Amino acid sequence: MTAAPAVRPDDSPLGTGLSEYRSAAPALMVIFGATGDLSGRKLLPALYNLARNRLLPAGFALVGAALDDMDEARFKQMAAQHVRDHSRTQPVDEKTLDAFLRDVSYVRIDFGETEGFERLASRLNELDNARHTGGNVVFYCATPPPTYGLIADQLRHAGLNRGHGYRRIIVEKPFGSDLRSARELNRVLRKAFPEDSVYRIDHYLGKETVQNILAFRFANSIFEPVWNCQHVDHVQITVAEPLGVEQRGSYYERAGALRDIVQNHALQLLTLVAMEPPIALEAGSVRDEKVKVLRAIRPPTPNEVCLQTVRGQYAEGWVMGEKVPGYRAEPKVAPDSRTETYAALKCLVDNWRWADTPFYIRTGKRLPKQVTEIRVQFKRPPHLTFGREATRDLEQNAITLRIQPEEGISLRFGAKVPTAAMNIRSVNMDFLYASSFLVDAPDAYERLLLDCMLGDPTLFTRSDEVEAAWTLIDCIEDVWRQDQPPLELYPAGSWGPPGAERLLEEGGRKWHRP
Amino acid sequence: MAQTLSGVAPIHEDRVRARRWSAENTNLESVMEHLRQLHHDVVLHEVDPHQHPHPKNCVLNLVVATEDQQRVTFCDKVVAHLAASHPLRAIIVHLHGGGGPGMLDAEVIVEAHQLLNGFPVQREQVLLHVRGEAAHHLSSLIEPLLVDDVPTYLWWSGRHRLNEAIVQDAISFSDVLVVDSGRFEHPIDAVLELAGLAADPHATVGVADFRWGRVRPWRDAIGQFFGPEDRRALLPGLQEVSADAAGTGPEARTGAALLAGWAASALGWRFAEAAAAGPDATRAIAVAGHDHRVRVTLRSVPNDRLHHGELLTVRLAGRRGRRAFTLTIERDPGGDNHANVTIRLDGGEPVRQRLTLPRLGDPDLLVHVLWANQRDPVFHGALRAAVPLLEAMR
Repeated sequence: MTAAPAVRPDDSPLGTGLSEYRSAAPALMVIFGATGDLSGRKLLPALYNLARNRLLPAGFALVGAALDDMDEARFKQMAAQHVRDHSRTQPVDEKTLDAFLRDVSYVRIDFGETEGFERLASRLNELDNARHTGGNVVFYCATPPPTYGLIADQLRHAGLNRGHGYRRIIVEKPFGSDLRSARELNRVLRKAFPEDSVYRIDHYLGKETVQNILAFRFANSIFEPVWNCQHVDHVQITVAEPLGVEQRGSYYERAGALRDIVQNHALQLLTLVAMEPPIALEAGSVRDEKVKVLRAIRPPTPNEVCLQTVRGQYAEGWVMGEKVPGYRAEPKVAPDSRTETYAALKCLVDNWRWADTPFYIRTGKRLPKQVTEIRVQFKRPPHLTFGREATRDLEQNAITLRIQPEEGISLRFGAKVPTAAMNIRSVNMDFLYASSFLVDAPDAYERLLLDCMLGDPTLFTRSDEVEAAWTLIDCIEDVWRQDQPPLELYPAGSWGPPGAERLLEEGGRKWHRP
Repeated sequence: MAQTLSGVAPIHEDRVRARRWSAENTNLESVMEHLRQLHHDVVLHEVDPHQHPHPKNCVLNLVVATEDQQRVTFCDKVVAHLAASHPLRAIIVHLHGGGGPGMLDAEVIVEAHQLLNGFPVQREQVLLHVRGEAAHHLSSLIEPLLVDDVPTYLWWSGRHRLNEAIVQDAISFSDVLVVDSGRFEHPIDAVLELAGLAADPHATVGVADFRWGRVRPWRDAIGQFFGPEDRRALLPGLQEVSADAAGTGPEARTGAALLAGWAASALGWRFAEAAAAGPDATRAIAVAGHDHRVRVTLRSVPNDRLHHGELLTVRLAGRRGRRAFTLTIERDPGGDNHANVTIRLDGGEPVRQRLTLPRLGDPDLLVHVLWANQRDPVFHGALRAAVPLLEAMR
């Protein structure tokens, strides 16, 4: 199997100066679960926007594949409505949408039956011949995780995992539910596809602000010298959302906050903050450095799990001005559920750079607002020249990397209040994406779908990263299964259970209120 | 008496660019989306091809809560003027109360003030009309709207007692609670509740009272008198402190009690034997050290020209060794914005001075609060020390 090289601006004299120009080789894409929520809300609008920006490769065609019995016209109609409803660019350009839909088709498929995959093979063959796509196909599993192995197997049996072009498969998180199942999933996927053709998507990594962490750290010389245990007191990573579990109760009952967010999004953010500079912004180097961080996280002992982790579950409360039910009253949730909707933990990264510098992670549902941020809190100066009174309102220096909303970076430092006396207060220097570049950033899925077609896996998760993350999570889950530490309830609309405050108070610290 | 807008920069209306949106029966998600969109519109409009667009500038969140439509209008003006020099996000909440499911009407304004020196200042304001049960859960409405990493001042202009759940809920997202205790139905209770918050070691919120701001010129005058080193030596000889306030009944003496509390806190006194002396006076003995006692008298004096509770006269007297001293500060009966200061020292001829006594409106008082520390230790000390006097006045 030969990976088709992407056409880069550097390769073509006509591409010089076209900074936005990233053109992939002709290819087809199959979305399994094309009638589902992820496809409708994210994938179809992302593909439309790629088309709108002339970033889809020449000859591109999309095949929707799902269990629903519908004809092609109905699928196109549904796809059009999803694009109109969810596209980040509005209003939708109807001509572009029409052109995009002309390249869309639909195949009904039952993942348990081989006939459907045979029909799919036949359709792909027709399209490849007609569109000269060189046998290149991306398979996107927008389906529940238990089906990934089945789909990979069926693709292998139908001979769709190999051909004269590239064959790549994209799977969505969660990648397994523990280390054992993650290894099993990796094993099944590898039976059909080599590791470099498996694209594990964590859409957080496709966000501009997440990628900007690398730019912030490694394109500037003023931050890196203080980015270590000598100067950083601790790091806080917050992934908060005001939504409850909505219709995902049955999934969430099995997952919980630790598996749903910490294992992937939060630990990915941690690796980007803590990693060493990669040799180049290239998939192997970046992912090698990330894996080193994950492996350096000290696995907590059972006693440490009790002391350094917090489990919470939301009770009834008020969020965004509306009364909301408790988790146990949500649809498809057991009335005596012990599943955590909030998780907080303290991680120690045992390496030269971060020795004894805690990384605190918290995530939860039904928190007061949606926010994802990383706060790097610096140590106080060794001596406060100005005395206690003058610095009463002075906080420690901090850099906040805001992933969402109001994407940007702020630096907090002390400044003299302009009065006759010497009073010092904290002030902010802010960088906001929205008002600095005045362009709408592409959606994470646009970036990642294009990267996959370009054969650039830098922003996708490698199998060893997944396994290293599960190694840590399993240490915690093993203790949590014994109901330790106790599950604490928190009112919906609050910032989590009291235990989370205690977690930081022990170090004389407190959570930043975003 | 009309409240002035004297303490803040004037608005140059020709230099203000504004974007507005409003909706009835909406939800917070929609409000947030429009706030974001309007901000973006203003920024886009401001961009000069030769300049970099300015970043977000916001130095504070100001949350105003009131049940009174007139007050909403007034606070709106105060915030607009304040924004000419303090870029801020203001959230004005009009509490309509009532039961049943919550309903929300909203108006969003984003303004860019192009100041004379060329630095743009922004005001982002959200006016929420909250009906039904949602009004009792303000934190769920306000917290998502707050700008990160800048202090949040809650200007509570509502009628509810500070110890009621609705206020406690609102305090939970605030760094500083700002009130005018004079506007409460029971001002003495309000100040005692502030004192409770100030004394609570677990409370994360600082407190501020406009009444304390109004006492500021009097504190300045007293502090200046005892400023010189030879006069500081007189302080342990203080024997008598009295303060008269305009109005009738004990509530009129609340500000006077704060002034006495300030002196007590600063000089290490403890009030004992505080008691009412008829309907219009409170007397107390302040114990300083082992055997030194200071007589403290607070009086209410009917006055139809001044606001209820405004100070009329403050007098401090004492003797240190052979040095007798008296400081009397009397509001000018003919002109409200001045006071006459009389200093008698060492039996000599009295020294008379004239002192400006500015009448501070809410905007000025709010600016003073924003200048002060979030937890003003002097005010907190005065509150704590004044508690015995306030309790005697209830």
